[in-house]
Amino acid sequence: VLHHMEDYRQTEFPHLRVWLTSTTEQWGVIALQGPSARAMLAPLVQDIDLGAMRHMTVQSCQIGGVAARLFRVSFTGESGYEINLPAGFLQPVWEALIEAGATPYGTDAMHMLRAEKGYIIVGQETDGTVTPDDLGLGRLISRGKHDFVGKRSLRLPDLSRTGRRQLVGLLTQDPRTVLEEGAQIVADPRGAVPAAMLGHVTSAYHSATLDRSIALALLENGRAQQGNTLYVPMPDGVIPVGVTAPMFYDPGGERLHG
Amino acid sequence: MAEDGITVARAAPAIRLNVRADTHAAATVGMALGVLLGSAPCRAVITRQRTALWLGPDEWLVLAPETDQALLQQIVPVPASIVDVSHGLAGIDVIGPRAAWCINAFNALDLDPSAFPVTACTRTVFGKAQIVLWRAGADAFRIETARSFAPYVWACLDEARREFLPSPGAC
Repeated sequence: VLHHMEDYRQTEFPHLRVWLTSTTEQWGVIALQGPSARAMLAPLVQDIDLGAMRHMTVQSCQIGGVAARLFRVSFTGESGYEINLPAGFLQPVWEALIEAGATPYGTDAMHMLRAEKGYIIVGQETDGTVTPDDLGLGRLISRGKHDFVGKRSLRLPDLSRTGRRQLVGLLTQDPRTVLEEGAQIVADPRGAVPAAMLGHVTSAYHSATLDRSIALALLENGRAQQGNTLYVPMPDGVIPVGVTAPMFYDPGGERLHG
Repeated sequence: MAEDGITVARAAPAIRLNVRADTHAAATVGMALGVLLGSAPCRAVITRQRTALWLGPDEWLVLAPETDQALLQQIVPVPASIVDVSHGLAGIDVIGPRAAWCINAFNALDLDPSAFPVTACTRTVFGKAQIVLWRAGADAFRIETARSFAPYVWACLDEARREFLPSPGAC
């Protein structure tokens, strides 16, 4: 990303008085996530009111006596914080949070949690052909800016047409069946081969929280297909799936904003 | 690590600033920071305890003792980019008569004093890592590398300095 931006700075925007410095290694980050995150973090934060800090905001503050940046963000669907500290000061804060009862979680758990909430992973739910609108994120794209990288592409006929493959949720009729990531979706499992493939599964897990399998998929005209039953043909049988919204947990966001 | 003719040590915690400014603004920026941003390519300039390593016509790495917190509070009156990378980089001191030889095990620069004299500094590679190399004294080199690359650089230096360990049974 840094090289990409440096490239643009030198070739497209040489008139801007801008310099780029990577701070990737300067900052260490702890993602503290879950219903107890606020109570656990509060004793370590000196100078701000965590209760007044809303989802998707950032504040500078003192954590453990060190100047920190605190983000209230979540990639888990639960209320949570990402604590940014100069890397060398991270460990004591980590240890204090473990002492307070936090449990370390790995990327597998994180993938599971974000899928329940329908948060995408770029490169898993997406490839180079997927637009923000396909993901239901079209509202994040500025209509007012006179230019930005990618603006021209988004206007191309094929990228702006309706009925493209869109992000949906899939629920198998049998809650114990976990779909295969990459599996194709068809409308008629008994039709002639090769069948018209309407989309594919991008993420699939068994959710312990929901006590059933869940999946995310890209599906032709997917938003209009919610409520329909489609089929995922596999070597050992055809799996019927219901098309849903791509969010299985806390759709109202009460936990996230709580 | 201290063996015949070579000491490799983790540098003390320091303040590190990546400073970017147009050449013509460098004097103003330097004055505001309390450090002379030199214009001689690949040369370090020390102002009291603050060292500015020239990395490019518009880029310097400023090093100062960790206690010099005032350096982080300076306001600069002209467009410039001053970024705190104190924790982003890690310093390793390589000191002793064998220091240059040890560094050359993983870096191809000519470190003869005629080519790389005291005060010389440059961004270069060490094995597969990007480093900043600064000759602070005749036999004293400082390596600055990205924090996460420091264990790799350290391991390479350890491998190089093993050349000088007395071999078992040699006496």
